[in-house]
Amino acid sequence: MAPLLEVKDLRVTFDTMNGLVKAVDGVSFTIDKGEIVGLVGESGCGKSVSQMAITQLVATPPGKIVSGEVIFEGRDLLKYHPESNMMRDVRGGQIGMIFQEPMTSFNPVFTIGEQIMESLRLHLKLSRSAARKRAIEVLEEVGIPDASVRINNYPHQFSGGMRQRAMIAMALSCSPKLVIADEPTTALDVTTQAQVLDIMMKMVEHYHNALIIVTHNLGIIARHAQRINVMYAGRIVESGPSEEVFLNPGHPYTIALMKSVPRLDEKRGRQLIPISGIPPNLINMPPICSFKPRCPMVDACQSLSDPELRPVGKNHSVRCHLNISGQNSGTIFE
Amino acid sequence: MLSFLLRRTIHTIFVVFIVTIISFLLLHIIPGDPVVRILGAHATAAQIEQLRHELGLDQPILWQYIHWIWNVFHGDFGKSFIYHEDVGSLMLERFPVTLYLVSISLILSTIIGIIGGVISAVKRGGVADSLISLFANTGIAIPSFWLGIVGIYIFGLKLGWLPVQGYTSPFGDLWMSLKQLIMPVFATSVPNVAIVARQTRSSMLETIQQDYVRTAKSKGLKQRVVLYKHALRNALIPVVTLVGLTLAFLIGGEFIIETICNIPGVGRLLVRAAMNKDYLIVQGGVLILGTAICIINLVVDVTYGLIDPRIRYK
Repeated sequence: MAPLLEVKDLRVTFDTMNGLVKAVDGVSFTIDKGEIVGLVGESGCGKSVSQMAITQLVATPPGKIVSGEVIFEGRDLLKYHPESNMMRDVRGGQIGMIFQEPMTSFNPVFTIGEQIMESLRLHLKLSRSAARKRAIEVLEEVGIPDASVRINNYPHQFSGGMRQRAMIAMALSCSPKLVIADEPTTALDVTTQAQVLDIMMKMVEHYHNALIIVTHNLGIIARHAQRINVMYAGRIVESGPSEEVFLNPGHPYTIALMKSVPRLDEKRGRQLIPISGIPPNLINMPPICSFKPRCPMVDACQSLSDPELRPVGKNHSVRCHLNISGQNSGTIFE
Repeated sequence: MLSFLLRRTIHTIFVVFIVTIISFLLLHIIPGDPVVRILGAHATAAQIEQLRHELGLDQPILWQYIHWIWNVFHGDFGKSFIYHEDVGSLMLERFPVTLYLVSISLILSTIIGIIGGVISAVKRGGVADSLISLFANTGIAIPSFWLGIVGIYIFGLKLGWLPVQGYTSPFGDLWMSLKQLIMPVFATSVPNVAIVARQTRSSMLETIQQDYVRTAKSKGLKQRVVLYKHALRNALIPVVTLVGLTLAFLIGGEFIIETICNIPGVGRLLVRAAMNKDYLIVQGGVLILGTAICIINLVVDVTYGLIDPRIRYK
C-alpha cells in the first residue's frame, strides 16, 4: 500500500544576508495512514521548515523550495502553485497544522469560534449554524468547559493551555488525513504539556489521523510515536521504528540526544551529558559529515567523506560511517 | 463604556477650558493693541481710553477671561471689532464650510492612504511599492501651503483647468463647488495620505509576519481573505490612532489653505482675526476647534475598541 505522504529529497533554502542557508538539505521520509511519526532535532536543524514545506507555507522570499517531491495521496503537492485551489484544499482540509505558539497563533481580533468556523465553512461547506454546532462539539472534545459559551471568547480570554487545545480542535475540526504538530507543547508549562498532549493523542486516535509530531522532547516521542526521524543540520541522520531507535540507536547524535535527557528509570546521580559544541552554520557546509565537529566518537571514524543514509536493520537507517547500532548502542560512551 | 464616555467628556471639557485660557493669555501677550487697530493711528488718547473702557479691556486679564467665559456659557461669544458682528453667528456661518472641507480631506486621505499602504505592503519591493513609497516620503516633506500655491499657479493660472480661488456651497452649484474644492482638498490631503500610507505599509508588513497570519494560511484560506480579513484588521489598529492625530495637522493646513484659496471658513476668519487682534473671534474659534478635535479623538478611542477586542473601557 502506498504511504499517505511521501517526501522525497526535499530541499529548502533561505536567502540571507550572509549567504544561502540550506535549511532542509535532501530530506526523505514517509508516513502511513493513521501512523504517528516523531521528528526530533535541536533548534534550527530544519525540522519545522521541512514540515512547513509540505503545505508550501515557507515564506518566499527569503525561503525557497528548491527541489523534491511531496507525494500526498498520489499527487505531488509541490507541482501545484502555493495559492492554487488544490493546495488550499489540502491545507486545513487534508493536512491540519498545529503550531508551537498558542499565545500568538490565534488572530486576536476574532473570536475562537469564528476562527474554527472559518475552516469548517471553507472545507466542509457547512452552514453558519452547522459550523457553530460542530465547533462547539470539537471544543468540547478537547476539554474546553462551557464550550458553547467559550466559543464566543476572544483568544486573550483563553489561557495558554486552552488556546492550544482550541488550536488542536481547529486543526482536527475538518478531519484531515494528516496532522502536523510543530512543537505543540513546547511553549506550555509542564503539567499543561501533559494534558494537552494527552488530548491531542486521544483526538488523533479518535479521528484516525496520521500525525507528524515535531519536537525536541524525546519523552513525547518514546511514548507516542511508532517511528522516529532524527534530523541534524537539515538532514535526516537516523530513521527507524521508535523501539529500535531507542534501544539500538545507530547515530552518535541520537545517542547524544538521549544522554542529554533525564530518565526516571535509572540510577539517581547520573549526570546529564550535554552535546558539546554548537549546531553548524548551514551556509557553505563542507562536504564532510556534518556532525563530525561535535561527534564524541570522532576518534573511531577514519572517513573524510559525507556519509549516506544506509540501512542498518529492518526499516532502520543511519547516516554514519561507523557501525554502532545493533550492539545495544544506547549504553555507548557512558 | 458609559462611565468611560462620561469620564472622557469631563476630561474633554477640562482640556478645552485650559486651551481657552492659554489662547487668551497668548493673545494678550503678543504686541499690538486692538483699540488702536479699530480707531486708527490718529485717535486721541481720550478716545482710546474711552473705547478701552467700553470693551472692558481696562480690566485685569483674569477678570476679562471670567467675563468672557461667563458670557460664553450664556451663549454670547461677544462682538467682533472688525466685522461688527456677533462672533457666534460669524462662526456658525463659517464652521460648516470648514467642516465640509476637513471631512472630505480626512475621509479621502484616510481611504487613499490605507489603500496605498496596503498595496505597497502586499506588493513589497515591486514597482507599485517603490512609487507609493516615493510619493509617501516626498508627500510628508511637502507642506500644504506650498502645494496650494503651486497648484493654483499651475492648474488655475497656467492651465486654467480649475478656479483660482473661492468657495461655492455644494447646495448651490455642486459642479462649481467640486471644482473649487479639488485644489484645497488636494493640498491638505497630500501630507495626510503620505503619513497614513507609510503607517499602513509598515503596520501591514509587520502583521503579515505574525503567527496568526501563518495559521490563517495553514487553514487553506484564500490569500485575499488572509490579507484583507486577518491581517488588515490588525494592521489598522495603529492607523486609527494616527488618523486621530493627523486631524489636528489637517486643521492646521486647512487654516492656511482657506487663506490662500480665499475660502470663507473658520480658518480664514481666524487667521484674519489673529492678525487684527480681534481676540474674541480667535477665542471663539479656538473654543470650537478645540472641542471638535477633542470629540474626534474621543470617536477615535471608541473606534479603537471596536477594532481591537482586547481593549475594554473601564
